[in-house]
Amino acid sequence: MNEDVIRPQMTREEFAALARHKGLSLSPEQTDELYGAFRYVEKMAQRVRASGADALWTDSAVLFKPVRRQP
Amino acid sequence: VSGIPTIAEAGALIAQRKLSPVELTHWCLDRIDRLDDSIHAFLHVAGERALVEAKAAEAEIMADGCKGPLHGIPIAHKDIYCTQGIPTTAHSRVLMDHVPQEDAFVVRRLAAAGTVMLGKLATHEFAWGGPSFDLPWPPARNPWNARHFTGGSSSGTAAAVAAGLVLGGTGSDSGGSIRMPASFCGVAGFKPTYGLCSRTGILPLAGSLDHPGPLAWTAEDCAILLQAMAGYDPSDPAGADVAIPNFRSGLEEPVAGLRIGFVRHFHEEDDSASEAVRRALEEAARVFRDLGADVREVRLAPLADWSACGIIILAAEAYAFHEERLKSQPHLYGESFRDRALMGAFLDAADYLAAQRMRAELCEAFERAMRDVDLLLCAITPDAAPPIEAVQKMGTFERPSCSFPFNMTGAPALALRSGFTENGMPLGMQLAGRPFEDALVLRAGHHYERATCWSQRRPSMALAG
Repeated sequence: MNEDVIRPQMTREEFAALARHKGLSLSPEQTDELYGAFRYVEKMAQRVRASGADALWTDSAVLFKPVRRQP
Repeated sequence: VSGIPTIAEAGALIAQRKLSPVELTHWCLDRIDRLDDSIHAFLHVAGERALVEAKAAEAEIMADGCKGPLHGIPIAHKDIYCTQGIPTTAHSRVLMDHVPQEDAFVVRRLAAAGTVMLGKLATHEFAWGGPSFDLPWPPARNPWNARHFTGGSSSGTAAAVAAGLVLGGTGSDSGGSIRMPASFCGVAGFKPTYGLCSRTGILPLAGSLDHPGPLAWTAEDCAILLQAMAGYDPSDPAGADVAIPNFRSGLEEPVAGLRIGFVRHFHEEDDSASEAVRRALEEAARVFRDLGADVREVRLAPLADWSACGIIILAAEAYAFHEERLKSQPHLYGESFRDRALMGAFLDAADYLAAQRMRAELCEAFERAMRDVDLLLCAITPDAAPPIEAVQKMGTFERPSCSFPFNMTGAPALALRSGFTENGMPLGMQLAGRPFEDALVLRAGHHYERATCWSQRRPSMALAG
């Protein structure tokens, strides 16, 4: 597995900084609560990234396929 | 009206002119008036409009005959379906004053089939929060025990059908939102193939996962509703331009010889279902064997893969839709939806793209697995409905879900009653098929219901009413 594609785990401080960067106004309590739940989401993100770790690139064609329209 | 009729029963009586749509509509409105205070299924009752529609249906039937099994049948819509001139709030303060100018595509199709629209039904906020106690309306309650959770997000539809306030209604399912409340409330809930029912005019949660579909008392009633709901809508980019089969006429074809894959690892290895759910699933497998089906064990990707992929896509797409308001007016949302949707803010483009790629791989593996079987039998919820106070706000992220595989693949899936707990709460199971083989899934559900007695049982509050 290519470790480069695994998302690094975020600290609470990084999480709070990211929230500010994203323009979100979170109270310290809300930050704690969301950070607690984010641990699960972060594991999921790691799981989906790891599943494609053997691929050299992520195939964007799954999102775009041209369709021939009848004139 | 004696007992609580199914759509099929009421439709037959109306066609024979033994039951008046006006009488049936009055009967439903009276039940809503007497029973809904205890389950909060309705956000808006459109009584006067319903009676106008019922009188029109009755006049049409008397003049020209019945145009189909939904002519004069009272239904209601989940409050994310836009309804012209009637508030459509998504159960949210954000849309308190939203009165659409047009009906959703599916609402128009159901109206054209002759249904009578009784009103709008509770949902979890924007089809994902909940149960929420900080919104302008209370959450729906489970008719089997009002202290228990309905499941969501099509909570009002499932509760209203179980209580016999409506004969059927609409829901939407992006990660189980039709099938989980159907399971917890002991009704039938069908998530059709992605693109079979138009999303136009339905407030989105996650566009690539959103599936409109019906909830009703039986699989047959779901087939009747689906017949009207399904149809190509060129304005929906997800719309499937396919021939629509007659879902109801195929119900009587046998299930003998069908190959049914029993996905035991979902509830035995990937998640730990209750003993009652396990027993009910084994019993369902026996019922299908007795009906002549070839039931065999199959393995799909683990639930953790399906759920990780599904949650990443759902959170990213939901956040994208709500981002601006979540930043500028977060106080307008309930805490449950707001905090779940905010998870999407912390995902990046690489996460989303990795999830979409993984989704494509999961779909390919699913297609390969389905070459050896015609249908799948698996769990939907790991246990009966919990007490409503026990539901954790962020619990959706903590435990894998048996519903996501069929949102990810877009495959049709039906939730049905599979028994009851010792405390009288319904248990559910799930049947699923290949994309666009909706009729086969409904057929298997119909035969299962006829071979078991679960659909004979109603909540005591519904019978008392």
